[in-house]
Amino acid sequence: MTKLPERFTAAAGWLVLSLLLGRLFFLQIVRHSYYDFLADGIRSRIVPSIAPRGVIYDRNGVALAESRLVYELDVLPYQLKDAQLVLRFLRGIGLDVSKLSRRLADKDYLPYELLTVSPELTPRQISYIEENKALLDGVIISARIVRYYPYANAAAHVLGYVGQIGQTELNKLKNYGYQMGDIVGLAGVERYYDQYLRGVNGGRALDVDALGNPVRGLRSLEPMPGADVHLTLDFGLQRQAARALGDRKGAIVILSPDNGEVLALVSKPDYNPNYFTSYMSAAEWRELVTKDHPMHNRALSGYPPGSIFKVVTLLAALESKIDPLKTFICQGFMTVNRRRFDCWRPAGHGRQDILNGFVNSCNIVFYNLGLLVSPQKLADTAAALGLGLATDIDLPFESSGFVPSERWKQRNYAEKWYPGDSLNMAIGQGYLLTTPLQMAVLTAALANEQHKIYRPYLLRKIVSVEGKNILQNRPEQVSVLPFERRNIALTRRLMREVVDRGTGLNARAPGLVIHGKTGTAENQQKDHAWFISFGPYEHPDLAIAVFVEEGGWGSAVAAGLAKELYVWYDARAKGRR
Amino acid sequence: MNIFKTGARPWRYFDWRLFLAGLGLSGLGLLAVAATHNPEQLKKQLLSLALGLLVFLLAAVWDYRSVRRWAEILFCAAVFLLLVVLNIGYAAYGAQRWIGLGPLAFQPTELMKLALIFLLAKFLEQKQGRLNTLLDILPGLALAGLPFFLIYKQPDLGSAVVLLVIFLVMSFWGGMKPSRLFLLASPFLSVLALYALPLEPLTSWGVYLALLAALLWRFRLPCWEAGVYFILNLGAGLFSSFFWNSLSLYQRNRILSFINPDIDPLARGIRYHTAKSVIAVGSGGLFGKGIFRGALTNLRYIPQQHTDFIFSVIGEELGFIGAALTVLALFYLLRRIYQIAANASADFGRYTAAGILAVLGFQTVVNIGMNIGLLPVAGLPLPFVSYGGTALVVSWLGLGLAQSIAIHRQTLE
Repeated sequence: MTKLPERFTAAAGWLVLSLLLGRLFFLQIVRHSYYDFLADGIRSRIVPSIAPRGVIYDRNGVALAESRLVYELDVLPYQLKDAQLVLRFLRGIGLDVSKLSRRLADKDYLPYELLTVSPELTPRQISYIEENKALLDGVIISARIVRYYPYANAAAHVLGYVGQIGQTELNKLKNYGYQMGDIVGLAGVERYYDQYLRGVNGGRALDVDALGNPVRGLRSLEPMPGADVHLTLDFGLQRQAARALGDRKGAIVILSPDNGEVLALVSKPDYNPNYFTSYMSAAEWRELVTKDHPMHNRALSGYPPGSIFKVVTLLAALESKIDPLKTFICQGFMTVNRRRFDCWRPAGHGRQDILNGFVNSCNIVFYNLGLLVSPQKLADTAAALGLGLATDIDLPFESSGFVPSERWKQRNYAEKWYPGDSLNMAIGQGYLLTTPLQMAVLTAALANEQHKIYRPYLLRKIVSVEGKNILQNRPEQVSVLPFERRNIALTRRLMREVVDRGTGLNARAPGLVIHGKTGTAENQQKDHAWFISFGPYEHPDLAIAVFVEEGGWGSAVAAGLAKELYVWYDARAKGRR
Repeated sequence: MNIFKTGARPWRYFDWRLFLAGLGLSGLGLLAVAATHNPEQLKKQLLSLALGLLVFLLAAVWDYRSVRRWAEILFCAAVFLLLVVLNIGYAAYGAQRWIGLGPLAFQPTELMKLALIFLLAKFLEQKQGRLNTLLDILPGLALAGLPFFLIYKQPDLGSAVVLLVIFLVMSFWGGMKPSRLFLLASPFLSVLALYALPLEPLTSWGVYLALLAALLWRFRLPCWEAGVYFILNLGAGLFSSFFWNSLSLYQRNRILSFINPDIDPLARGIRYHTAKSVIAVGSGGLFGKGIFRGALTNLRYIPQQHTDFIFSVIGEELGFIGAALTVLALFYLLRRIYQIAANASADFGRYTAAGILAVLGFQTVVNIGMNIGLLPVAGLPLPFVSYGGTALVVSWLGLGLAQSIAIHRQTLE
């Protein structure tokens, strides 16, 4: 044993042997518990079972938002036997495999990573795949629950949509059981009543093998489906209102005057909330974010009211004890402090009392009322009718509109209130902003017999999975109009005349009793058209605010839309009887 | 036939301890293959073991010295088969290594190892220990280099390196000086100095080259030889990036992640195999989870757990005791072969045994090393234990040859 190779080899052998044994000792004895912990962590994992969201129904039980099972297609590269064959097959059944084939070619994936090919398969594709299962090792179909809106766009701005919780929301809500990756309501009723709709996710702790197949269940907690939400919405009316508005931009709000229930709330352009539940294509996303802001709820946003504000000015004048028979002369314009103020009718209305001035929407009459009524009185009357204050409807992101006052102007512009400001405000221009919803609430208050302002609401009740009423909503009276009854009665009578012989002729329908007021709000490009009204009977069922963005002269477009809805409503009511 | 020519009672020199060590390891291998829950593979492995034992007995009684006449032919045949496998062989796990023979599959690489051992042994025997100039070494290096290149092309870097190790170990046993051994290995060190040291690359490489120059001076080599070695080192460093790019992505990743585990700290990607294997072994503890009861094994977390990562199965299910015993058994077997090499009466036997020792020893160390996270992943099976017919039969053939050397050493007396 003296030769060099022998000595050298033996020494190397002993060295390596002790190295290996030492390492084994370190791994298996010294750090055993650490690796044991890691081994447990590798093989067991919590598989959440997502609770299906509750269903959203309209007042007649029509399901507007429900949960649906869709089948997703993934590919597990490790299991693919013949990738080219699989790619050809998937292309053959109409799937886009360009991304998949690129990632496979570049080996751009982790071991055991699932590559998503299609977020949703058609039944036909599923059956093709199942029939050829033997050839398609590594092709995996898995089911998941997604939100589904059967009527797509029709009630988009009421229902909202769902999506993954954002970081900002998560920070606010993590103490309420919300987690990263949760699907939550991001707008509309889906957002406002999310805590009822979402249910409680369950989960199973599983031993899973290397491919993620569950092997042995350890514990499990069944998911609790979310509660169902029943709305006050009348989906027939909602759809009719959406159709009436058509491709125009604008909003229609329809309330039940006797309790504040929202029967319809449309904002156009709208969007398809189903886009948000699956992966949105680039084209779909572009459609959403490009022109006209379809995600923006116009029914809850402030716009200058124009002549429909004359209802407020009229009431303020009547309450200020100004004689309604007082006359003014309209030459088509008037001059105050060397500034010229026009009537909408360049030829002028001639001699008019206040009553006819309202029916014909004469600006000159109302300019004069603006000078006669104090600015404070005008602002107070607007506030009493609910303007300048959020209605507190059960929808997120409501604008409160704006009613200017002397104090506000002093503070913000360091300027005093000029007579010109009064003139502008009297005909609904200037700094004023009102939302279509606020105007609907105002109209409803004039329409009901007790002249009450109700908080507008969408929720009727929430019903748990067991069928128990968790929450039953009731009409909520905000205030009673603080005006003399005969002043309100006079206003109502004049609104009737607006439709019968005034600017609202377009809304006249034989056999129906419709009260209304037209409005045209000046705008940079094209004027906005307004029409507020209630009808169609002596005891009105509906209070409608129609707003058409850049719709032009109010009596033409907006009043016509309202009439269409009254006629449709009446026909349906008669048909039911 | 030869058994009768060896004189009376050949079994007197039969190394029972070597045989029993091999048998015990094969039994352990069967158990571990059974633990991966694949009855089909277990059956195949049993058949291979039977064939291996038959080959072992035949090789043991056969006078290995007669192979001297066949060494060149065997080598050429093995090279031919390697060429065949490169062109028509079928692939698995991304490498072309197998030739189908009806229901059987055969890996020419395994045959190549034996053929190289025989031919090198014959070459070294003729050299009679004169192995110190480059000209002496070159033919042997060429013998190893040709199949190295062919196997490297498959690609099977691990097996290709085995051939170089065979050459180095056998040359060392054949009388090469350690200094020449160092010089032959120096181009690799040059690359390591350039990339693997935690220093600025050019600095560390410069220091290395300076040291090398000093050593070349010290070794008193002929001027041209020193020049060749120095140029080889220089070239290895300069062309290393070219060589690096010729490696496939997974090979580069294995090496990179071994040098720098931070590349993939969660071990989800390129360190997946090693990390899972280390966890499996570590979770075994002192006594293991019990045979057939290893969770990671049963849930198939470790790919190739029946072949390259069989040691992790043993580690998880049989614990430190089982794993340490396996290591000791393997080293005991290696020691027996070592002693056969040391005690061989003829040079040809001595070199052949040294070659077998090199193959089995290197594979053992590299395989266990990668299973317990000491070495990068290389696709080398654990001798006698891993699933794999050709490897098992050839291992037993090697053992048989060692026996033959032991049995026939007395006949010259």
